[in-house]
Amino acid sequence: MMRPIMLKGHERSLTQVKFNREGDLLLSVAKDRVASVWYSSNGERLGTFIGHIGTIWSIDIDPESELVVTGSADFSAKLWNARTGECVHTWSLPSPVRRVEFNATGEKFLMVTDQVMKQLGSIEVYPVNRSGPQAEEPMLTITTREGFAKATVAGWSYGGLYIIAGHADGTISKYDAKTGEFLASTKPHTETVSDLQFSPDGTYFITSSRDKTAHILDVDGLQMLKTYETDAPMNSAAITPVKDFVILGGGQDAKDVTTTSSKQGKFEARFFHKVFQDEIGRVNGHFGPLNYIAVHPQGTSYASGGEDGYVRLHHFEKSYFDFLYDVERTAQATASTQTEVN
Amino acid sequence: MAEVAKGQSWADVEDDLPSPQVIDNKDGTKTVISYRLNEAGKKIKLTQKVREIKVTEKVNKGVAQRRKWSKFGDEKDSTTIGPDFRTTQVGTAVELVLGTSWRGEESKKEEEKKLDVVKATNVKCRTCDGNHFTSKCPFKDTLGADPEGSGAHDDGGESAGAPGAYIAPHLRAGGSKLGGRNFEERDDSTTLRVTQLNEMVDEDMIREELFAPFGMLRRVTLVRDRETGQSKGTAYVAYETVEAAQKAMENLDGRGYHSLILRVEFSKPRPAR
Amino acid sequence: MPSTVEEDINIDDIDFSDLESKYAVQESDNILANYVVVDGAPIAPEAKAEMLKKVLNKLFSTIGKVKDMHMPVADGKTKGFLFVEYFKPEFADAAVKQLNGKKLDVKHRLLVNKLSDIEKYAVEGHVTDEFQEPEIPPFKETGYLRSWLQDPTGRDQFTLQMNDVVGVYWNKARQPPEACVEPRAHWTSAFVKYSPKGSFLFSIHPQGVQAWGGPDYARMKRFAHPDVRLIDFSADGKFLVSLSPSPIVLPPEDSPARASCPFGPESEGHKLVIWDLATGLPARTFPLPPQLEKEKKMIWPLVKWSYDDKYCARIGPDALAVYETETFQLVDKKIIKIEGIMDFEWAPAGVYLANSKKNEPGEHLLTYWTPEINSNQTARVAVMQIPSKEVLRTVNLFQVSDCKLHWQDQGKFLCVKVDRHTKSKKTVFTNLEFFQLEEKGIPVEKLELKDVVVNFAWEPKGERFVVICTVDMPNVSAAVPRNVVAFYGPEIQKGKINPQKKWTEFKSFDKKRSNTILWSPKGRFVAVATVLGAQSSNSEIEFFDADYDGDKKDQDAKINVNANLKLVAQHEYAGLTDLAWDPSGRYLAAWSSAWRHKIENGYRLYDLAGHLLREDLIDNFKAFEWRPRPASLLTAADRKKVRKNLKEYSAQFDELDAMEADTALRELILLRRRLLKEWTSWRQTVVEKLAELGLDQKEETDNEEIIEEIKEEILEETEEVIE
Repeated sequence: MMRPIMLKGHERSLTQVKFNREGDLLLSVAKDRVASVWYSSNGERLGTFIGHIGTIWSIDIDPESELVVTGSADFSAKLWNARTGECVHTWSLPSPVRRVEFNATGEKFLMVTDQVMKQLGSIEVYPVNRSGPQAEEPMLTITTREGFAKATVAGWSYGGLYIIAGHADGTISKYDAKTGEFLASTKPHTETVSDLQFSPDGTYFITSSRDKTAHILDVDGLQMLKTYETDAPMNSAAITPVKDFVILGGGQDAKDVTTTSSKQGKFEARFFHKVFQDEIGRVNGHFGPLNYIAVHPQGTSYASGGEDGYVRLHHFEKSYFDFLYDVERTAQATASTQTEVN
Repeated sequence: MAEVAKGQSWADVEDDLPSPQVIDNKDGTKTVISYRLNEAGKKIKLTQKVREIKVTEKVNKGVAQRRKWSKFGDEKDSTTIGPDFRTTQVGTAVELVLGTSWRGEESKKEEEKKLDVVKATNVKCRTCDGNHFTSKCPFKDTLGADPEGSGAHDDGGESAGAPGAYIAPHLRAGGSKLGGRNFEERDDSTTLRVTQLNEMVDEDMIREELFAPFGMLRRVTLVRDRETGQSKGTAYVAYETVEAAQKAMENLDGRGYHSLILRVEFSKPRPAR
Repeated sequence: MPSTVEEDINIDDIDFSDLESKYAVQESDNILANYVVVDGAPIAPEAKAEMLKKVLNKLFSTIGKVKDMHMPVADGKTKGFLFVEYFKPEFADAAVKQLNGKKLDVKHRLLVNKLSDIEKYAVEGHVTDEFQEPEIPPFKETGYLRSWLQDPTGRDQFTLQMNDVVGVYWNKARQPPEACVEPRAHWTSAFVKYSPKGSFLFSIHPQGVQAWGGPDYARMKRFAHPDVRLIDFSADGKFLVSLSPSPIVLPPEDSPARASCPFGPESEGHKLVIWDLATGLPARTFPLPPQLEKEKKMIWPLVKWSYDDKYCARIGPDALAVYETETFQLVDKKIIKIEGIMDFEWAPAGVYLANSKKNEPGEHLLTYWTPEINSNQTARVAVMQIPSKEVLRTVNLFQVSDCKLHWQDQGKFLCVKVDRHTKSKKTVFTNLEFFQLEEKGIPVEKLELKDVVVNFAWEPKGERFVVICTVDMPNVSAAVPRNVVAFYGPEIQKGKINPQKKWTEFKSFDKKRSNTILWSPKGRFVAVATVLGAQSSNSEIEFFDADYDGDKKDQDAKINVNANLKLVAQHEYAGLTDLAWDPSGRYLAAWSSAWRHKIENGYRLYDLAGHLLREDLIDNFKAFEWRPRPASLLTAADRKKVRKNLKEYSAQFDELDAMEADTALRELILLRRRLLKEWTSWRQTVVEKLAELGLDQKEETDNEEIIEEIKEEILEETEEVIE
């Protein structure tokens, strides 16, 4: 039995939850305009970041846990002091910000800006200045290419070499992170890419979509390596370190469900085996669709942010780490005997 | 906020769930009573007896540093040491049974759970601990139940007279924030009520096709049927400014949209509950 | 220069034939088109010729105004034929259509043809006199149409339809089904359906219906019926009935497509087609009855068949049209006039009446009902024999709202569900009228119920039935379950069942939402389900065994019925939209179709005791269909033998099952090994590449510290429901 910790600091639907590099902090943003940061071990709230006047769509914290960046529907992105909660800088933008993410060194961050009216969506990269004022202008702008649907999510690949973006029509595209040059694209999904999260080493990533599937693709070839099929639109997908699992979250929108049973809405986190692609378990608890799933970088816990306004933080138990397919057990045994011989 | 039953927008949740309560017990533990709606829409009362424990952990230096950070933002004035019940609660246990046949396992467990529930709701006599109502106790006269004393204890402190037990939410430290927030923030002066919407119109359409051009929106809420999730044809649209709301009303009231004539007016403040 | 050239040319040398043919006035054709030739007219003395002409003129004027009529006379007598000229060719066409074959009197039948046709076919030289052998397409091997029955383990087949794909599979119970043929994309534009004996699978296309069969599901036949929407089969599977909203349009007479068009001119404008499956040709076509043209929801089937396909019948306004299927002509060339006829049903088997010979095929019976007409005729249910059209039994009924006719599958009993109202029409309740066809005089037993029966089902080959009633609770919310599922059987009196039966309830369950009854095709087991209705969010399936042999029977002295009912299993199934037993009665398939909603689409497979064998959630799953089986060829003695040695047979199959399970498992393990190996080796190349780039993750040299932390621990927890 796993006892989740319920984080009730938000008054509206969660939009994103995220762990810092060591996993001791958990950040959460919601449609209620306030970002929160929590200690992940016991769910104690450390503080809130106050200043946005619209839904905050996305949040990230730099590797040193010094700076926090948020992107909001209020046409702005903000940089915060992670320790004090003070707003360090605000970028006013011509459209809402859907996604923000620091690169692995924390020297810069990218943001995905939405397409509104005549404003084309774009991915913009800003430098982060730790000692002086912040640059107002981006160092790189990747405007939505002609014939492409707007980007909904984006992130940095291994070594910060590439930017991978997911689009509203299910396309995945890849860019040179230095020059912004378009390198390749593929279309693994038939509907909006709702989330894109990288493996710990940044060499492959998982995408989730409203088309009820999630896929793992490799960064180098954009080849579809794995597919996870579900029976409900998916909002988020995460790769677990330590164990070869992936966790998917989503659910039917309220308007598509005719009754109030949460069973029918599929408001469960779904666990799949990353390699074998089988669904191997579910965790229930939310009363609405799961909007985001984040896994602790050491693989010891995971957090889900729900449409119901709650973050549920689950610390895995022993049985979770013990679970192996017979095939995996055999492979491990073979590997260890081989090393002994060597 | 109250737990939102699915198929319902956060905005039309009736605040009919009692506020949660925390009772400090004499032995240093706390009893936390909270309420929620279950899947069938029934009210569930959850009573947890909680003990705070100190644990020591070996962690990375950076982590240890961060443990010492002082709180900020909404938590700035918090005096609680450790998790604060207002924002953090240990949830009821959930099960993660991993396996390719998890579905079968789950249903088995569910059946067991049903049995457990039956056990848990079993009646317990306050006089003799027997399996019946106190009033029906065969030892009622011989053992002599004391309704004042033992009764108050067994009820989990619901009787208000018990010393140091229940503090109403608005009297608690920081409680005003929690209790009063809804009223402070629900400033209806920039909120428009839109009626006569076609049933097929959803939030995104209201936002993008109708109201977005007139100014920054704070929120859009479409009233839906609790059971079916069907739109009831009424929505609340809140702007950041009164001017934007005024402009939107002037432009959209009486306009045709998906074969119905829209009616847009300022939302009247809700009568106080 | 040009002038000299002109002079040189002799006008006779120029060939104008191309121009002549181009501009030739084809007068004769146009005029001929207005004429019809009438044969078979009476040969009358010249004196009466005028009289005859007058009569015929009157007849032919019903089509259009007659311009001229020429009746040749020779040797003082008319010659028995005449020419009629109309003003327009359309009238001539119509005259052929409507008057050809018209009986003038007992002796004279008119044959009406277009004069142009006579020119075309009858004039020497226009049609060759020599017999030309029609080209017979080479015989194509169809493969054995019943090959699936030879499966060594006796498995059944089913189709699964999802997205645009239809696949045919072997049922392997707990194991994933095995594809019989590669699933085919766009196999149908709407649905697929097996013929009643399972020989063919039919698919729907914009151009018509296609039949597939044989071990590989190869294309067998095409039935060209543009825009076909609905199909149905005759009871014995000899005929296919198809309906299209688009009337049949014939290609123009001179078009080559006309030759390949299966329909003749008489089918023009028709929408309903009966096809002979053996030939693939239309056997008869009908226009859609005008009263149905405007119906939004089509009544279907429109044609109903006797058990052996010997007769079929259609309902018409105040009449029933019964055809014999040899020629598709009306029985006795007459329709049966039945005032107000609402519905009818054929007996699903040959009926052995009290005076029938036991060694001959049973009688063809049908039953129909008529409502109250004005105040002078009561509502009636009648049983009629075909082809004699003799009414064998009639029951008069009063204050009838509706009737449903339920035949027991062997034709032994007929239950008429009569929904009746009180005089005020405020309360509705149901009577069940049981016709006992095999008893002398066809006795009718009435069972009066307080409530409205919403569903009724006979046990196949049995005498028991299940009903679902709705209890009328006017002041109670619609959300409250108010259905009663009740089980009935014939009462045992003095230790035996009286030949004249009296049905009595032996078990009932109230406060249900159930709306569907599905008996196993072999009887005894019955599934009662709540299939997603407008409001029922808690769909479920219940499995009952009517002859449970585990517990002792309820020793209820008063109720004396040959049955021991037990609810053996109960399953919630939120998405449930349909369910179906396999032909052997061993498995029940239940599914959630994306045609109805998007909840938990996919299917489940249960065994007859209600154990869940398989569940497969399939996105956009649409339909499941079992392949029906023809009747068994085993004799009663053969069957007895099998039953006797059942233990030995079942042991063999147990072994097979175990082996089967192992192979499946082995394959799965092999697949997983491969996947794991592929993944591990890919990861290895990636890790090496990162190392080359200097991007491999370095182990952090740890600088750790010990901290103290406060956590919450739950000591006790209780949950209770508050009303």
